[in-house]
Amino acid sequence: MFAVSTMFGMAVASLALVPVFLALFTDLISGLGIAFIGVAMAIFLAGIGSSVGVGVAGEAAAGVVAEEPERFGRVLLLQALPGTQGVYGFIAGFLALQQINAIGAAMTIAQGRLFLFACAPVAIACLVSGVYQGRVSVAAMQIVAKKPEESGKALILPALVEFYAVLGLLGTILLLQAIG
Amino acid sequence: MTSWAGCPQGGPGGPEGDAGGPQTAGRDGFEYAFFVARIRVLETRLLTRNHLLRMVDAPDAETAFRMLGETEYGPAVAAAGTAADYEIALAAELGRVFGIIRAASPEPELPELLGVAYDWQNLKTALKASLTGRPIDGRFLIAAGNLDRALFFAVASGADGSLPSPYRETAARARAVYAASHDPQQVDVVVDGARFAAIIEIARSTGFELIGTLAAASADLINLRTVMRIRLLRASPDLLRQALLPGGTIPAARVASMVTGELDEIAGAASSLPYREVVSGGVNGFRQSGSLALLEKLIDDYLMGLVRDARYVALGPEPVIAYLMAKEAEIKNLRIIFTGKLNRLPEGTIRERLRETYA
Repeated sequence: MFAVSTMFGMAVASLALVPVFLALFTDLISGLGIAFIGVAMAIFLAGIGSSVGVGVAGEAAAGVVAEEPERFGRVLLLQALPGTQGVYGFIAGFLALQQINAIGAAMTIAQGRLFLFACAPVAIACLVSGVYQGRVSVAAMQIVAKKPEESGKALILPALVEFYAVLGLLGTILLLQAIG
Repeated sequence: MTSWAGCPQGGPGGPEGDAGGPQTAGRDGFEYAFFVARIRVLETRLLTRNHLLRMVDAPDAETAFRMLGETEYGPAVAAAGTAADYEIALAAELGRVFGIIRAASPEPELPELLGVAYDWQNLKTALKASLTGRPIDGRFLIAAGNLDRALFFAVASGADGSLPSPYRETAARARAVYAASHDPQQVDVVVDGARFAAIIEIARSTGFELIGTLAAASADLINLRTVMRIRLLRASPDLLRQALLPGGTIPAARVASMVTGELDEIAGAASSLPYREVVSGGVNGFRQSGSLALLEKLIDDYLMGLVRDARYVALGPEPVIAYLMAKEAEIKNLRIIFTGKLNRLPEGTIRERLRETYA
């Protein structure tokens, strides 16, 4: 199940864990620094998920359009679906950043860790769901290719994966509220 | 012009086999996203059973040929001109389809592997032309192989020197066998055996498990068919030794013993294999009618059933392989229709012989 692209994503993600561990178990980084790591992870891990998903879905879209150019509109929608994860990550990062700015340089290491944990749900859920939504989009495009009259059903299948990205975003928002 | 893995293609695992998932670890098929989506569109242009039946019901071969010209076979039909030249149209269409596969495949190994069968097919056509002294019509050479067709023109005029070594050695062996027996069928035997060995070898080295296992199982089914043929023709069991294809799951000694043993033994040998029903049905058909037509149809239908599982694979090489096999099955059906029409066979007979379609 691991494509080169997925493996690349995982490799980047694990690289990101180095400063996280550094931040969690040493006092080398300030509270503000730890919180920033959380924000950055929310944005770039979700971005990786979306890039992989939109990328593979785009390839499939091109395959359909190469033979049937008039189906461009239908496949465009399917390609766009895995793109939302990146947006969710950005929204979560933006919300966290507003709270972080309110505390400013006074942030303790303990507070910084809370922000880091609060950003984790959206980052991880969007990374994984973006990749898998891309896969389902590819399969759904094959429905558009083979039975264009069933395009509506084809849209529902990848949309279900979206749910878990939304839950990740909600989780992050709730945690941020809990920090207060 | 037969398919890539021999006359019919075989499957090992039955519908429960591994055709439903990614074939090899470490390959999740993302690189196939473009190609498979395109294949799905192309599949909608395959001829349906209704298309074929309408052609069967056409008043004559020319009308049927014109009907074929209204499908995606249009350019191929136009190139051939008349129904009598239907083989040229079919070869042209196969060349066109293979051109798409070669251009769009994300892994160059896949068209190379699929094209190997056509190289062997072309070698067979050229060798036969050379041995029987008939001139070769270039349009019968399939433009889908990996080797330049000019090489095969050279073979047809007796010069094998520029062929790659496995082909050159096989050509030399086939020429020697023909010199001794003057039987063109023996040339088929030699070339088919070499083709199977080559396909299984390449499948193994490139990791396309599906192709390797398909080829291995068709070896079994073709071996069983050969046994039945030898029994039918009451030919010498020695012929089997030369005709046995390598790479099957039934041991060669067991196959050899079937030529002289009871008919039930043949069905028994396949009893633990997924295609046991094909074999027992074919043996029963043979017992009742004395003909192998039913066995051959059951083999083809069984293999097409296996290939249909690729409909559920969204990413990976399976849909590509399935599309090519579907196209070959379609071409086989068209050949059945046109030979029948040109020979004025009754429509019912042609209809009976039609194979299942993929669509």
